[in-house]
Amino acid sequence: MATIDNTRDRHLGEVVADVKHSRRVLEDSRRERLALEAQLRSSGSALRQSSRRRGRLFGLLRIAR
Amino acid sequence: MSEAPAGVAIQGEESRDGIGTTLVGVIALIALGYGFYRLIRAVDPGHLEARADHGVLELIVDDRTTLTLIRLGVIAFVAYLGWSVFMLVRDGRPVTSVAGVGVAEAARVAQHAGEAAVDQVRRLEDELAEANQNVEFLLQYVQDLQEGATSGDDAADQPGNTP
Repeated sequence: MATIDNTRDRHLGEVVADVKHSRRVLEDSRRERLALEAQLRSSGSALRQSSRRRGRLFGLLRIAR
Repeated sequence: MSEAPAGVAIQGEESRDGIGTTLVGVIALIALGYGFYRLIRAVDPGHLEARADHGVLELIVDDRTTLTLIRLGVIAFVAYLGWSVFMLVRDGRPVTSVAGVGVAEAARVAQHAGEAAVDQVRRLEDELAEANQNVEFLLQYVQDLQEGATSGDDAADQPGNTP
């Protein structure tokens, strides 16, 4: 009976450790994702602004034509 | 996945845009070249013994050396314009690399790919959080079972109680 209890406790301890590790990985992933999203927002804004300027430039070229 | 066709659509759109830009650039170049040609002809003193034009510019451009330099400058400028339009069509970026004007297609595709990757990471995080929560519920359930078994054993150990 004691052997069964020890095995059960060991497995439960491993599961708890896995969950803790999973939580840490999740937090790291969220932190990196938030940083990436901030960079993507910045680059997306610059890209849209650049696209608008390019559209205006092409509009001027069409008007010139 | 749905992100790949989006990139293809962007490339097709850029290609159509490039054809229009090429036509506009060629027409603009022809117009510019003709305009400069007329300008140079207007100030061309012609043969020294038969000057016909008496424009204002002729007072400045009064010899052929200066006129030749102006012609060379105009030719270089027109060539530069042509090269710039060609680079704008090919790379989405003019030679002058004006900040914010040129948009490379690669940057747009990379932006879409990055957003798709971040969305996928977000979905994976949600699934992982849900899995963690399920495991925690199971652990709590096991702990409750253990406590119930322990309290049952303690109750059974009390005198007068039957297991």
